[in-house]
Amino acid sequence: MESKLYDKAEVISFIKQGKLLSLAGDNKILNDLPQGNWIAGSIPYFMDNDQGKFNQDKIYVNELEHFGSNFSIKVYDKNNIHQVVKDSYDNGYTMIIFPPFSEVLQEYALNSPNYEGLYNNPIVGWVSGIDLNSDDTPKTYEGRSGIAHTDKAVAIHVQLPENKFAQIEIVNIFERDENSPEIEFYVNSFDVINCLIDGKETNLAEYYKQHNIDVKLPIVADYSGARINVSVKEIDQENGLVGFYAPVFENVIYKFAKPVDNYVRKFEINTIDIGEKSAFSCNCILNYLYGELEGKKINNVKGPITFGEIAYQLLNQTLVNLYIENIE
Amino acid sequence: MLLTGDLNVPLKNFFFQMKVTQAKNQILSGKVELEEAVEEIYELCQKFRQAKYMEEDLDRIFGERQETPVSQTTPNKQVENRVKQIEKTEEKSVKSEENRAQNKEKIIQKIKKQEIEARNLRIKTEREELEKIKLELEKEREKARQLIAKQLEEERKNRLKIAEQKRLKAEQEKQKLQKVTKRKKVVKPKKKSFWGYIFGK
Repeated sequence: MESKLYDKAEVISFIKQGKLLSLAGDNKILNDLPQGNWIAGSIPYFMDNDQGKFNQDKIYVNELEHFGSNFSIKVYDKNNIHQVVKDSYDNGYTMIIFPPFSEVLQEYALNSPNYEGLYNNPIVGWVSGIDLNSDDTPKTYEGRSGIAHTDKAVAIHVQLPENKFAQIEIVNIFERDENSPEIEFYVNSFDVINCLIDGKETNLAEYYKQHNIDVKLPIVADYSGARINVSVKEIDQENGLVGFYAPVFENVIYKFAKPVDNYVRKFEINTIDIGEKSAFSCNCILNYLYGELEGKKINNVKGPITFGEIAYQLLNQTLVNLYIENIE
Repeated sequence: MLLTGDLNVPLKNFFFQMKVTQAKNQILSGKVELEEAVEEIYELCQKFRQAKYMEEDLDRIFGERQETPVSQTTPNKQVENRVKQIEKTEEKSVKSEENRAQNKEKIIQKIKKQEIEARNLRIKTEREELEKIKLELEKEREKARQLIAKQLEEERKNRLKIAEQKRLKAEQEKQKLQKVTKRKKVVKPKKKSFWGYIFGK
């Protein structure tokens, strides 16, 4: 089944056929779906087949192919989220949706890098959101009960047959600015007061102000060649505090991102390689906004627009793709 | 080497990038032993051997490996030539066509036998050489292991020192964050839209 926005009636029909689905849509439309093999997260922004769009009347559908193998649907809170790796199959993948600013997301974001077996199978997913001009509450949904959650993550663990494997690819348009100082943090945290900048203790909020650094640009860590972003949520000069959308980690060296001249063009160039056969894809709301993706068709970029992306761990300002491949 | 930081190879496969980084951090913090990490990465690389860029990454780490397959059969032409040569020398003793055919068959068998023996000998020699190389490698590995252990011990001591300093700093940072959070809670929060969160207004 093609991944795209569908009418509610079509989605109800897919659910009744027993299909295994990952859904994304506005709370209004997700509220009264029938029970079935699905999970969902709230969001009204999408990259659909034809273009980026805001839509509250349709649901974005990803059918999770399991090729006749097993699958299981689970709900996690902050106390059992560490089980997510153990609940996965020997060969397969996990699709997970978190509510934003929740304790379960905090727990996962801060501690998942140390979960035993985190890399045994791909874990992909996203953080739900809402219409940015509304007072709605971001939610996740577990289809078997139809219950909506504001503080729990929902996941589908999919088993793959022996002749298949799943893999994740990410697209990050940001590069580390080689002229940037090295930034190191004392604690694993979403909030920072003081840190080491080129080895010197510095108040980060003050540094942003003094050096007039663009807060649209994330700070970027180098994970053996993978560029991992952490985006700025707020700078509270009054309290000398910088808040991030994902945690920063001690023992990791970050740099400010290199300024991007043309966000849209850069995004286009970096997404040329995205294959048509992605099993699942999602993209950050900040890329959608700063890249002005509404009304635009960018290569094969598709999927829900999200308040955070999961590719093993929580990422920011990143496009995530999951591929199912044959073993030859 | 990759995991101890002695070899810095930028990788391209996303799983590999993340796993190697996790292993490096866990080794540094003493949560995992080097050999344990190597073993785990090896197994996962086997599992995801066909993932995009995986082969390229492994080639970059270990250098390109070239295997020359040993030919199992001698080309027929070569056998024929050798048969002809031997036939020439033994021509006088071959009286009839029947004898010639029988003789030819014997010679072919003889040559094949010689070739099998030669191949077995070659394999045996190669095996012995491999064993020698293996032993030498093991010795080198042991030396390297000892050296790494020594370096790691020194690094561990240094890290402990730095960690203690960092721990103190982290405590201070946590206390400051707690104070700020408390202070923030006292102030009646303004209703903030998600645009506010996005742009920090």
